[in-house]
Amino acid sequence: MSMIKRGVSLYSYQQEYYLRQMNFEDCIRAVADMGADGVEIISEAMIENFPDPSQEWVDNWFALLKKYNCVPTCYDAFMDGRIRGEEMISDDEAVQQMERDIRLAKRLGFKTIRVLCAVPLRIIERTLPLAEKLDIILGIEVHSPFRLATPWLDEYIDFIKRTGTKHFGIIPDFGIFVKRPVRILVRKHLRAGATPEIVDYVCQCYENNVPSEEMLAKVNTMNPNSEDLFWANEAYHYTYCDPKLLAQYIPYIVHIHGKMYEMTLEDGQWDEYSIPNREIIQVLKDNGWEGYICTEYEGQRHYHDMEDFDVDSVEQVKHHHEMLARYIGE
Amino acid sequence: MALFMDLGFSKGICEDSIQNFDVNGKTYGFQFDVRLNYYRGLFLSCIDEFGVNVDGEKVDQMDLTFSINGKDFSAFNLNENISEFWNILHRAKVQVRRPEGLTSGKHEIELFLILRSPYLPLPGGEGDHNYVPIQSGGTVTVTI
Repeated sequence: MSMIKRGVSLYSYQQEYYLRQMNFEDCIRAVADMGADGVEIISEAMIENFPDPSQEWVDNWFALLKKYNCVPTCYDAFMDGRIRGEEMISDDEAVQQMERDIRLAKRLGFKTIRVLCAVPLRIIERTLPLAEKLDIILGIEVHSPFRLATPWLDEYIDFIKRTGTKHFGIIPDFGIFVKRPVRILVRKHLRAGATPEIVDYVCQCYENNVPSEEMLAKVNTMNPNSEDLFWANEAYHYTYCDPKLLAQYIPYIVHIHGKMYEMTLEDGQWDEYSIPNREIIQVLKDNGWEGYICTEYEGQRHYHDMEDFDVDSVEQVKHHHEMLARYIGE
Repeated sequence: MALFMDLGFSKGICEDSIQNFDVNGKTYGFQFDVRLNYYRGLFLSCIDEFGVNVDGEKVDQMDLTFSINGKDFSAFNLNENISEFWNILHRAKVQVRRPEGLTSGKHEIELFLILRSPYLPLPGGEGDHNYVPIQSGGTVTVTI
C-alpha cells in the first residue's frame, strides 16, 4: 500500500479567505471534506498577531484540527531579506527569522518547515541546531525557476550526505514539472489582446523545448504586439524537469507541494492541465516515497482581469484530490 | 514600464469607509480604510510609497496618518517600522488632515500605496526597486 498522504496548503483558499467568504475554520473543514487530513499554512497569511499569536488562538488551532481529524504538516516560512527598504538583512538577522519560525512552527505542532529556495546553506547550517533540538525538519523548496539536477541543489544534497542530518531535506514543488503552458494564463493574454497564432506558436515551442532565442527570433518575424512579446517572455519563466529525476532524491524529500493551476475533466476523470501528475506520482510510488503531498492551488490570480471573475478554489482543490487519490491508488 | 504584482483582491480604499472626522466638535479632515492587496501580511517597513491626492491635488505628507493595530503612525516613519505587522484581513485607517473635510459634492480620492514583497527579488531588477512591488492603491470617486 502506498504511504503517500494527501493534504492542502491553505494558500489554496487565499482568495476566499481574503474576501471573507471562508474563515479559518472553513478552510480546515474544506480539507477534511475531501478526505484529506494534512494542513499546511502560510504563517503570515492566517496566524493572528503574527509572529506572536495569543494562547487562545493556538488553543483554537489545535481544537479545530481535532474537530476535523486533521494534522499539521508543513509551516511555510519566508525569508524577508529586504524587510528594510535600503539594505539586506545580516546573516544574524536571517538566522533570527528562521529561529522565530522554527519556534512558532513547534508551538503549532508542525513537523516540517518550508524554507525558501533563496536561503543560503550557511544560514541553514547555523539554524540546524535549534531545528534538531526541537525536532523540526527544514526543507528547502525546489521551486521554479530552480530545478532538479543542478549545482544549486547539489550543494544542499551534498551537505545532507556529508553530515547525515535528519533535520534537513528538500520540498519539490510540482511547478517544476510544467510540461505545457498554463492554459488559464494563455487565455488571460488572449483576453488582453495577444495574437492567437503567436500565442500558439510560443506554446508549441515551450512544449518542444525550442530554445528561447530561436522562439523569440521567429516571433519577431510574426509582427508581434506588446502582449505577444510579454507572453513569449513569460512562458519561458516556467520550468519543466523530467519527473524521473525525482527518483535520486527520494530519501531527501521531506514534503511535497502539489502545485495546481487548472483542473480539467477528460473522459470523466480529473487531471491538472499542465503538470503530468500520473508520471510524477508513479516515480514516487515506485521508489517507496512516504509523506504528504499538499495541494497548492495558484490558478485564482489568472482570472482577476475579468470584471466579474468567479473562481471556486474549493472545487478546484477537490478535483485535484480526486486525481491524487486515483494516482496514489487509495 | 513598472511591473506591479496586483492580486486584484482589493482596490485599496474601502469605499464604504470614506467619511469626515471631527476633533473637538469641528471637522478636521476625512478618513478611509485600506486593505493590503496581497496573500500574506507584511510589516509596515515594506511600505515603499504612501500618498494621497484629493481632486488631483497632492496632500502634504505632514497631513497624513496611517493607523493599524490601534496605533497611529506618521507618513514619515512608516518604512522604519519592522515590528508592526499588517494582517491581510485587517483594515488600516488613513486620516487626511483637511480643515473643511470633504465638502458636499463629488470628489476623486487617489491612494498611492506600493509595498515591497521582501522575500521576492524582481527578475532582472536593480537598485532601489529590486524586489517585487505590490500595488495596493487605487482611485475612487465619492459623493458626499
